[in-house]
Amino acid sequence: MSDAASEVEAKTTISITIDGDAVEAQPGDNVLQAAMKAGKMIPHYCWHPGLSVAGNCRMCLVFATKAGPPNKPVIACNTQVVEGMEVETKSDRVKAAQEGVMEFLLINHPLDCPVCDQAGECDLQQFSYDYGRETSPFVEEKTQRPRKDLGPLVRFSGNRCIVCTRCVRFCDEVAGSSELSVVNRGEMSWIDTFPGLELDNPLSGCTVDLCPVGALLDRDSIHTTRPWLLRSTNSVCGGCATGCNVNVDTFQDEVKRLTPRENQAVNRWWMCDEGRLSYREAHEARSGVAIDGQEATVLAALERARAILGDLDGGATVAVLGTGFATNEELYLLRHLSSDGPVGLAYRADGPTWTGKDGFTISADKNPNREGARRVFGSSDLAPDDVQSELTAGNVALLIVHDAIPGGAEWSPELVTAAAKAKHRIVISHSPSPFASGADVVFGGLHWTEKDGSFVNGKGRLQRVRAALTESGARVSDVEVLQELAVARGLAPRVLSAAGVFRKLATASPSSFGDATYQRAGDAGVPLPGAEDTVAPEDAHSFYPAGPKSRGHNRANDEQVRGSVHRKSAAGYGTTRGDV
Amino acid sequence: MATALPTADAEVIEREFSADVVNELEQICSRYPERRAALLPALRLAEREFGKVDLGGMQLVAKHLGLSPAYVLGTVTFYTHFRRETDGTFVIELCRTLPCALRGADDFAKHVEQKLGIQPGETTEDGLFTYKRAECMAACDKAPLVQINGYNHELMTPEVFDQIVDTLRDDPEAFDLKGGRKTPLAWHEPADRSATRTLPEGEKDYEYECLTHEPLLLRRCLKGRYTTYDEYVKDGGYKGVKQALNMSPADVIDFVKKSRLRGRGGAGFGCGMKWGFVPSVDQKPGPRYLVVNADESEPGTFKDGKLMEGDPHLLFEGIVIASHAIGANDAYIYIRGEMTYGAEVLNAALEEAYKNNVFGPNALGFGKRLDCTVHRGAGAYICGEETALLSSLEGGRGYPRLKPPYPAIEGAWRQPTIVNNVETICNLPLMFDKGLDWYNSLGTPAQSAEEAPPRGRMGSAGPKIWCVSGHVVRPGLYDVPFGITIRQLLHDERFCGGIRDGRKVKGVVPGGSSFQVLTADELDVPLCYDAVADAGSSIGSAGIIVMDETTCMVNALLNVLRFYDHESCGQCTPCREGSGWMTRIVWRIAHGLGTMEDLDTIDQIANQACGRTICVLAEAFSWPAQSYIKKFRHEFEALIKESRPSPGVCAPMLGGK
Ligand SMILES: Cc1cc2nc3c(=O)[nH]c(=O)nc-3n(C[C@H](O)[C@H](O)[C@H](O)COP(=O)(O)O)c2cc1C
Ligand code: SF4
Ligand code: SF4
Ligand code: FES
Ligand code: FES
Repeated sequence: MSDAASEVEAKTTISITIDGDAVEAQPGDNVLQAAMKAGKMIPHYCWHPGLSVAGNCRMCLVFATKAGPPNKPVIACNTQVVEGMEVETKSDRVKAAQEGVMEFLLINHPLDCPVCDQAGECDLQQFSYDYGRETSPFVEEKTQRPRKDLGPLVRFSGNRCIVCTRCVRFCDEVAGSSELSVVNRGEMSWIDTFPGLELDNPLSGCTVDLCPVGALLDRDSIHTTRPWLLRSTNSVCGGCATGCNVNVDTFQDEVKRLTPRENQAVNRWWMCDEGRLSYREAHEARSGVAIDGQEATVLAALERARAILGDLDGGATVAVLGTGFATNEELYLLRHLSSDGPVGLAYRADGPTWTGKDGFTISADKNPNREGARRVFGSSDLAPDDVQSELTAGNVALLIVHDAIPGGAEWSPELVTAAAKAKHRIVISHSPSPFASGADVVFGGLHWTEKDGSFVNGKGRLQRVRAALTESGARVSDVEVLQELAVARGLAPRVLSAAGVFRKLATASPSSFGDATYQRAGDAGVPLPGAEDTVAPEDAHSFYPAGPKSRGHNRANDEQVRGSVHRKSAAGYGTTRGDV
Repeated sequence: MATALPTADAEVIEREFSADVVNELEQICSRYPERRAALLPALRLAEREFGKVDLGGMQLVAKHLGLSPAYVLGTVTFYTHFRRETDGTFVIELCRTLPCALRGADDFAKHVEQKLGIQPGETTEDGLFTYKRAECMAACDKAPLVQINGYNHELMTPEVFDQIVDTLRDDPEAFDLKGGRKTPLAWHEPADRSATRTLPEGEKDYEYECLTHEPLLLRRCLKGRYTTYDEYVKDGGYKGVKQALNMSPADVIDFVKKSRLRGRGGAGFGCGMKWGFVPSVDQKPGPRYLVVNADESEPGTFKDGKLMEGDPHLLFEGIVIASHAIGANDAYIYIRGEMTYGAEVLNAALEEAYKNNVFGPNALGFGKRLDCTVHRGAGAYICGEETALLSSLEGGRGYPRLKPPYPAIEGAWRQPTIVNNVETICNLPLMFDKGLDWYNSLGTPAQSAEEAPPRGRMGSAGPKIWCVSGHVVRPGLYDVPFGITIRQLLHDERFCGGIRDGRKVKGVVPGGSSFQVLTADELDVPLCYDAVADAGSSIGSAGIIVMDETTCMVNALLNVLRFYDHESCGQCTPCREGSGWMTRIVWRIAHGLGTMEDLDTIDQIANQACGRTICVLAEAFSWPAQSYIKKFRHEFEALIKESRPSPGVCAPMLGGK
């Protein structure tokens, strides 16, 4: 090979300029990608990195050299970068093109933003503001297109649809179910299902995230709050072992919705409908706080629990029961409390698995942290049999039941009966527990949306869960309760934050947790030693966050709350990244 | 406007094709590399079997082709020519597009509405007749034109129409029109035609008589029935192809380049040059496809239909030549859905061609397989755009595709594909039979050798068919070489014979309704690619629409805009929204409700749409709008200033968007 040829070979990036700034682009990238990776926004509706190129909205018009006739704008989303290309995205003629497209998009749009749930996190609003003209001579009657529920989760408002076909392509290319199609043509085009068939695939809610306007809305959260009032917390879905990254959006200390947060190593831009609705489990019957079966305050309960632990003999057997819904920190504390006593773990039963056309997988394992349990205890298959036999033999001085599964684990009746043989019993449970009756103390455990901690997903990625709700007086976190017990037993000097507990856990089990820290896991998660998933945190976020609803048009309040925002992507498109 | 969507929730309607039909469907599927491509044909089967394309039929087709029902629904609702659930026994479609409107379609519409007692889109109470407003059906010289169940009935008069309706009312079986299946040919025989219609007093059956110039392309098209294989061969057919097959593909391409043949479909791209873009098999392995664009739907254009209906073997011969040049083993003729009769002719002739080994495993004895398939569209102008045509051919909504890649590199089924217009292909046999010198002697010479490709001044060579419609004495097809001036064509007694009733020309659109209008001062422009381009318009698809001094240009523009608004596929924001907006503005002006600012707004819409869309439909409505307003601004201003609705010949055409 000649020198010149090998030089060309060696160069792995393509040099272009965007508005005069030098940008190194990846071969194969289109101009839109190259610009956004360089932190430069080119407005767009129809293009999405997870879908094929449609090129229909025409919002991304730019001028570029080496891309066909000069003086003819090209769409950035379908123009490959070539060496030496000069792109203009801000000149007057680009501005004119953008204004033109914005005007066309708005003429038949109902402009019903005051009553639209998308308002505040809507690309149409944002780009009107950023790229639109203030006035238009349009005075004609607008077209009318229908409004209807397309499926259990998705409502369609035809007049708002800009026919970008993202939703259609998603159902074709990711969900693989093709329930949606553009019907009719011209300005009477809209999106519909076949009459009598519904938009009802396992990922149907993602069409709502993808819709750049208010044409598709989440029926579950529709008309419940304004997006700008939502407080958003970066967390991880507790629905299954996939561990989709999510935003937990709350209003007045109530979870209103979950939306996917991009993570290329885990869920790309998607999450399943079941996970999306799983926050509802937090609203189902919850366990209260009790002492000897009587309702009590948390403080009183803690005092009683401390007393029990304080009175235990040094060598007394402590048995623990935990679940695949417990965080690593909780599991670690349980292990710590049990010393070498018997441990039993319970899991939510497996469900169906499902894989989309792009590889997105819903795990059959419906527990968010089975892998964490394996790493904390060395095995995830610790059936409660040991605990049961020790109980039956009357050897157990204290049984600690930590059941974080919403609705409760399916404990065997024999185990529950045997529990009565423990001298003391402390129960921390998300939902009302069969172990509660006869227990000394019962604490109400937190739902995963309420917790700080970490899960390890099925592929060995450590990911942070964050409390989206402020702790109410009625409850105290599971991690804190468990630590209070440990302090009382003399196992720990003081109560730490979840981060502190994790540090201790990681130090104690370097082979399982390596040098992972919360800091390192950040918002992208980190692969643990031996993990199937090896994507480093730096590589887990592309330049493109998930749908507009999580793009952060409305996340200013969160920036203040957390004070740390990574704007890895282009202006206006930063996802809020929570701090450690 | 867009096809109504079924509203009732579908129960899964239990329905099945008979074993024979399933067999037929499988046969159809085998003609394409993917089953999905059989979607439009399969829907036609459902239409034939069940009398309509309803939800049950869609589900059935979806099942057989492995598609989602929503996909099938989306595809069906893109097209206008399927019989829908709500349609009556007889679907009567009346063309209302500009050329027909100029020749009385609007008055005739009133008559139809009166006779049937219904408005467009409605069905008579007895469920017998559905009346639809239709767009140009490529028979613009024979207005008023109705289609009944897919078959043309031309030069309609109120008397003939009443006669047909009354007869069908008495006896729905009378004309054997049901589903358009049986012996429709009868209705097209000249003998029969004269039986069912009377020509207006003093008018001659010009179509067959006015071609005093020796026709070159149309010479075998004048019988009123198609030229059979035997007749074609006897007349010297299938000779050119032998020449071509004795040459290497590269030599054939070179030959066509030297011929200076330019595409007759509208864009005027050098034919040989386009063929030359097909990558070598080393660069891109796999099949190559030839697709014949027989979607002819640009208003004012009606030559391709005539060629196919009259001389299908000329087309087939051309197909063999083109396939040989580009290395295609499969050719598809995409014929517009409304040409029911044309498709029947092609299929009948195709059978002959297969029998005589024109196509087949060893086509014309040259050791190569070549198959040819007739693929019917279903009513969508945009499918004439070559990439929309490919989307439709592959079994989808007729959405134009992003370019690049161009079809020659990545076309049908992502393989190199050449799309050529019917007339372009029909040029090939003549060229190879009679030689380059002969071919090049016709038309206008290249202006300079360097400036040739692709559309530059390569002159306009070869025979050419002009379609003249509108206010001339004898509208029709004129097989006259390039270079004749518009004035000669319109006024010469041997051709159009002047403007009817001795009136004066006001405007002439030279290339089909999407191009700029020329005024009476511009009639001395020679009809060839370069000169008409220099005059600020285009010969496009050679649809010459003539408007006399009585024409209201506001109304004419409104008609044109309505067409493109109706036909925008709706993908691109500027075209989808701009076409409707512009139409509504011009509608207002035509109703005396316009303002002076509206004229600027129209210009602004045009500027915001042109050059910013996937295909050039944005230009197709912008160019006429801008040129009508530029050249006839006073007419627009007059209506605006006086706040009065448009008078003039097209007035009845008004009626709301
Ligand atoms: C909106 C639109 C409609 C068109 N309609 C037709 C048509 O009906 N028939 C046709 O042959 N070409 C039509 N064309 C041109 C085709 O895209 C293409 O250029 C042509 O088929 C190429 O064949 P040719 O090179 O032989 O002319 C249309 C183009 C556009 C943009
Ligand atoms: S519903 Fe939303 S995502 Fe779907 S085509 Fe319309 S605007 Fe695009
Ligand atoms: S310009 Fe119009 S017809 Fe062409 S692709 Fe775009 S929307 Fe469709
Ligand atoms: S984002 Fe490029 S055309 Fe829509
Ligand atoms: S057939 Fe009516 S306008 Fe062409």
